[in-house]
Amino acid sequence: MSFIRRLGVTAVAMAALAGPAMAEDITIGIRSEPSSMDPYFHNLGPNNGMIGHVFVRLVDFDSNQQLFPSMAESYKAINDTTWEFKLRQGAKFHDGSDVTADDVVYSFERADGYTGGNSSFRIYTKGKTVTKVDDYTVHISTEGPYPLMPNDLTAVMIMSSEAKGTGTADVNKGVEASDFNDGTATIGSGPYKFVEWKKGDRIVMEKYDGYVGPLKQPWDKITFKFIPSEPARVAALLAGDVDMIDNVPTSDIETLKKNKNVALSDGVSNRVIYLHMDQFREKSPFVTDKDGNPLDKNPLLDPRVRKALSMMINRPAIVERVMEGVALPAGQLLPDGFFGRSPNLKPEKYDVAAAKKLLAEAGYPDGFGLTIHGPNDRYINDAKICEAIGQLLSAAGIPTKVVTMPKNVYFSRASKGADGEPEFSFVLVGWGSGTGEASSPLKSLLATHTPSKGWGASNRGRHSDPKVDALIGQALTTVDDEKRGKLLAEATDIAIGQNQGIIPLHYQVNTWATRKGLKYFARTDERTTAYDLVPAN
Amino acid sequence: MTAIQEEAAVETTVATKKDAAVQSPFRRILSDYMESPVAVIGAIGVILVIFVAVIGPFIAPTDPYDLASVSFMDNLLAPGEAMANGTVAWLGTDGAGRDLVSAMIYGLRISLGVGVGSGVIALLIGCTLGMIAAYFGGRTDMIIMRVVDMQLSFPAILVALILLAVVKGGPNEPGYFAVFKIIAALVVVQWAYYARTIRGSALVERRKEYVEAANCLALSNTRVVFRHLLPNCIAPIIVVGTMQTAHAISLEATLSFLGLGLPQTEPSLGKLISNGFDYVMSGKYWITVFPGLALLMMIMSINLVGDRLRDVLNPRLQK
Repeated sequence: MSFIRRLGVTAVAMAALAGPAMAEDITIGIRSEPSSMDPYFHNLGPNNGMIGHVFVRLVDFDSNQQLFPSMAESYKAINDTTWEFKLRQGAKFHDGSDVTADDVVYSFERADGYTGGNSSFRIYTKGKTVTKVDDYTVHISTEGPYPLMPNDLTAVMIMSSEAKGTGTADVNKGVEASDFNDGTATIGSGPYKFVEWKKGDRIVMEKYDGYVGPLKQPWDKITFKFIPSEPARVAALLAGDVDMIDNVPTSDIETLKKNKNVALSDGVSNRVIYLHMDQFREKSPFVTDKDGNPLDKNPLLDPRVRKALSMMINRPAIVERVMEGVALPAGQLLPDGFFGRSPNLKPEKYDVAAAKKLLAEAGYPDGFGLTIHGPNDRYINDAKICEAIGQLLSAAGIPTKVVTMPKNVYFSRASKGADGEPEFSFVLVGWGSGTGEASSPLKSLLATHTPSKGWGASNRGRHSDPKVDALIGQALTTVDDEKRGKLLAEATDIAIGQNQGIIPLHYQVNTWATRKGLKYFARTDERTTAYDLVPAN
Repeated sequence: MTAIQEEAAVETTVATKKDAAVQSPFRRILSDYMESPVAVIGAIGVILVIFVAVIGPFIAPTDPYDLASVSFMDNLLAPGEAMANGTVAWLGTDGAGRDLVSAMIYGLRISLGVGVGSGVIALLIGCTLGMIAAYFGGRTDMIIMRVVDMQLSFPAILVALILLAVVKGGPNEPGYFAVFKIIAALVVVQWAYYARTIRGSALVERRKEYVEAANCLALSNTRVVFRHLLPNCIAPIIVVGTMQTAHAISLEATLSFLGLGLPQTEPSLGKLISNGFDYVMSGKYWITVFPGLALLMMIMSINLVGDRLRDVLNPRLQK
């Protein structure tokens, strides 16, 4: 009797032990905590990735940044200036209400008009008019032809126009950012429901059974744990505390590769790491003579000097030693396979002798002094890259000081100093193409700085060439893909190949590590999502 | 002679006849100090650190702060491997290609310089204010000591972090500006310890007869404070001074570890440890372990010396 009972107890205990292994729960260790769960609070990589589980877009990118209809069932251009989007019938928000055209209209208005956040989504909605045709059809029109409509819409997440008083006429009223962070307004129509956010610790989500759409739901419960420290994140994976980590430090990739219990996945991202050079000040604050005294004329105004600097940078060596092989040398804005690349531009060859000759031609045979500024917690190995560039330029006769700082200080100063203009002369930055093609970086980094148009918004060197502007403008209204690609490539050729508007360094390669038995589809947009993580077979 | 008698003797001699009396307590302190072998090891450590710091640039195999000669092509070499220019990196190289032996010697100079520099300035400020508070008493005392209390109620690291965040350099600030900022932050953090210590011992001394005698002779306040009171408060200052120097060094290391303070290209010991921390999981232990050991030994040596000095300078602890 007692023996049988004991057997029974053992069986129950064994079943209990087996239980957790069968439940499809997953814990993901991520480096960066989002700044909000409000879809339109901050246009930031970690936010867009995290919020995308709860709120979905009409059109979205897959892991290779190829478009697919998400909340829309289908979409097409019905004439030169209007696109039609058909919504999925039967799709419901997490509170049970239907997803209709009203919600799309409201989401658009909020993306366009919300001013309470850290950055605006307006660049994606500007100049577009949304009209409800019926409950499941919307038309979005522009003044001229606009081929990039679907790409832009991948930034617009669909919110409920009714949940928690969101749908008030004034998009800045009704809900506060805090309502999204505690879950009261975090009601989307995505594959996962928001459960809780413990600030500084974790965000928890669970599967939404009523989800209608193409995204996968491989897990019942997802826990995102924030582990900003690089070694601690790796240690958490090795200890089994988390099932996957993002942003695997390059220094640990080698050891993790040898570990049989860990699987790595990596992919080239759409992010180019590059240098901006001051091309708008006659006297640039951080360009000096060799002893640190101010110069009368800013040498960086001369394209020959900019080319010489580019030639002094040994890209393959930086990739091999600093990035430990996990990056690709860059010669333009996007890596192979992306739309609108120039076929002519290759990474600049490392040639100090030729660079010195060019400098002499430009009137600086003895070089000059420079300070490079960069962030130390934004891109992979950013501070180390700055230091390597400092070493290369110093050794080539341009004594260079290296100053790195945390991203929250760095970016505001790099964009706007005390006088409203970029504060530094020579800066390291990165740009990921949100639209997955070349017009995004061209428009933001190399078009003439025109705040009213939203062009050159991140053009911290203020490169300006009317020919480049005209080509970009023409490309943005050209519907024919082949023609548009050629126009973008030509703009790139002039801005980088001829003008040396920026110095591309390398394309970032991102690495994720999972425990054995899982597979992550590395995303070119660098996002870490649970629906791209599946059990490996 | 018992300790208390001897102490009394010191007091009177300092106040009246100086020359003959100074020798004997010094020799006593020295022989007392030497009785503890651990403390002797500590003293040797301190002397070694100072020696290396002073002659550093002459013995370092490379100049780790010269960007033109450091190359990232030499980075992450294991201890004993040779760099491209043939120099052997006996303790390996860090992520930027700096030879760790050289980087540690230079880093040691910064750490010790910042520690001692801020200690001396804080000591001067703290002693002056503490002495004024003790001697004049009343409202002056109250104001100074309330500021001290306020200062001590904040964690040192927090005060330093706030200061470093608030004080910004202009464009083209010279490299040494960063060092000054760190020293200034450490002075602000430390002066209160000195002020409180010296006020305590000066209050005790002030009630003694020799001070009354000096006052009766109508000597000036300055003379009484600096010639009579101060020399008799020197023992606790020495002890606090050594402890605070060690504290300042570890605080500087902490600030550097947190990424505040000195430039990326001129790492102090704390910054070297922090840089190496990125590599601990990949088995490249040397980048963080060797600078860590150097810091540990330096602080331990100073603390051993400070501990022993406290024992030999405090008559109540004598057997």
